[in-house]
Amino acid sequence: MLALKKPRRPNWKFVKNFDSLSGRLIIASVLVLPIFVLMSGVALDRSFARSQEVAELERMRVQVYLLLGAAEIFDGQIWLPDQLQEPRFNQPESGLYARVTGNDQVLWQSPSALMTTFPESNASPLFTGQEIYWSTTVGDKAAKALSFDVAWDTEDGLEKNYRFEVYHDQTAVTAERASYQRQLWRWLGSMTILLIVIQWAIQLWGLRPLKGLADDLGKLHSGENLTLSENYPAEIKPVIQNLNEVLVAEREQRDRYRHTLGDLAHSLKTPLAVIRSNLSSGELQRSVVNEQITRMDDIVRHQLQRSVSQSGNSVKRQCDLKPIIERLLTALGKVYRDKNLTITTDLAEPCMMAGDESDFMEMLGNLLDNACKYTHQQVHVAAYEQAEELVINISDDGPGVPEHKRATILQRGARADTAQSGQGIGLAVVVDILSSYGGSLTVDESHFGGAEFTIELPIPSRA
Amino acid sequence: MRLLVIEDEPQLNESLCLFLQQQGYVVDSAADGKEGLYLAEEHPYDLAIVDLGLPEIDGIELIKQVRQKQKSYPILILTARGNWQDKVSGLEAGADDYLVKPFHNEELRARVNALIRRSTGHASPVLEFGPIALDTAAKTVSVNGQVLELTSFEYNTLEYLVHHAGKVISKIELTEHLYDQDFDRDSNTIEVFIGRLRKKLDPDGELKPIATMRGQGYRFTLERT
Repeated sequence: MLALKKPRRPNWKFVKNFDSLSGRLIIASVLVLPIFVLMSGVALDRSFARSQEVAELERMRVQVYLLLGAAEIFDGQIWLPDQLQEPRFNQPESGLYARVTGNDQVLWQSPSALMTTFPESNASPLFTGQEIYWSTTVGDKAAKALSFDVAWDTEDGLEKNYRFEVYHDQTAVTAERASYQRQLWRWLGSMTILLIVIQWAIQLWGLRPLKGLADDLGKLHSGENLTLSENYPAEIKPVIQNLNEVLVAEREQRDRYRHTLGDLAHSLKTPLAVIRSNLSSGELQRSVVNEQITRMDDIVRHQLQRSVSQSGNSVKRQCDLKPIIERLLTALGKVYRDKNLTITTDLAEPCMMAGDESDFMEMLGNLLDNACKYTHQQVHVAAYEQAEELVINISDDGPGVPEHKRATILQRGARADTAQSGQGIGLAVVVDILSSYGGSLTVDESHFGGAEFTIELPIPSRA
Repeated sequence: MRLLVIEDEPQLNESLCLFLQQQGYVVDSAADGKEGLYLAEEHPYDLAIVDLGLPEIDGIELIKQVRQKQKSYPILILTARGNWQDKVSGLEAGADDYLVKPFHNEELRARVNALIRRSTGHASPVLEFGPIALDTAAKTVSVNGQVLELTSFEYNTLEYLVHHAGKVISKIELTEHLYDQDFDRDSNTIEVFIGRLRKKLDPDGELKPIATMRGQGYRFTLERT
């Protein structure tokens, strides 16, 4: 097992919160939500002000039209009734005032404006049908004003220009807006807090499966369960399924190891028993002890190499066999320098195969070593691709393998403890490795007259 | 012949040294890579036996460094792992042969003999010089088919001279390759051995196989037949 080193983190409270998913989400919403709330608050306030403004203009227009409707011309003079329809025009200081001007003179003003000073009038020239709306102050108070210019035909056929002006005090409007703003921010504020609380609750609920997973893993560790239950939300399910697959593979591997270990221990017991009985019989026979030691050594070596070839299988990489063969031949040429071997090769370039390099090294090492050991002079190695298979051909001009022995030496799983000592475990290892790759090994007579070993390895589809 | 054994397992180291000494070799031993490397670089060995899994400096690194120092004597590696990855990297680093543990002493003897023979350029284990035949595998010497009775010092002295036939070998070189470091390097001893060898090899004084080069050393004069 790999011990994972915990990465160092600055011991800083704020950063620490990022260790928890929930903490991250809460911090994100605490940062982002107020911005949204602020923006929507401002937008709502603006649109309220705007609609207030529009309504105000509409109301004042109505007042102007009412005044226009009430106005009459007598003897070239404009005349309005003493009591107007709108009561606020009649009541002093009511906040709604009106006046009529013509030729820069005030011709009429509403009774409500008795005690009021009007601001400087707009001195712009009069245009018939022109409407001007502006902000101003009446007395000390903020007000809105609307002026409307009309041309009036008198009885004597003359045309007279008048300006009707309505002033409206804005105190009430401003108060209304302020009250609206207060309400608005109060609501938005409490909604923000509520949202954050709700989100926190949702997170607790949403992340609860993770807590369940931790409990499940704990049970796995304590041995209560063998796999994780697959009762998880769709987002976590694939992770759980993969995890379960890994767990199953791991358990199978463990079982295999236990099995192998048991095999190993048992198969070592027999030679040990032989030695012990030999010892207790009084006279120690060197040859017996020697033979049993060789047997034990074979068993250990076989299991060791098997463990190497089986553990590597999970990691498959593309390997080029050409340099492996060449390295082995160079090394073997050194070992068998005395024999003055003639080694020839005919290797495809490259000889790609997916698998573990040490597997291929073991397999080819054993075969090439045998070839160099038993050959007289010639060793030829050929490698090529044929019909989705990688074929490696190793031939020599040694004594060869007699036909009746060919099947026996290739028997798969011929366990070392049952094999005759001295028969060698090299080929058993080769066959073991090959079978784990779905390959095969055949023995034949080479064209030199010696042995020819042929490996056929299926090439996995390069999808 | 002087051998170096670098092996960290004390029992194996001891039994290896003992066995090789019984074979008539002079053996130095080291229990870790550092000491081994020092010895390997300092002394003119005829062969080194190196375990791959060594403390301090591992076997492969040691071999590389020895080869970098232009030391060309043969190196035999011992490995417990026995996988080809290890064997090949050992051989690529500069070793000449390997032996997988556990091994029979006989096998070790055969490998050591073969490597020494090979390094001196002799392919066959039996070296013949006219009537004199030296069997480096059996470590026997015969004259006209008659096997001589030689002590191991006598045999070793002769074998060293034969392996370097034609070259002048000084007394110092002989003592370095044939005897332990604490050997009393009295040159008279060498002279005594050479004298005895001459008598046994050439009782009639006709062949004169070992010539004395005054002030320089000895030379094996015969040519291989």
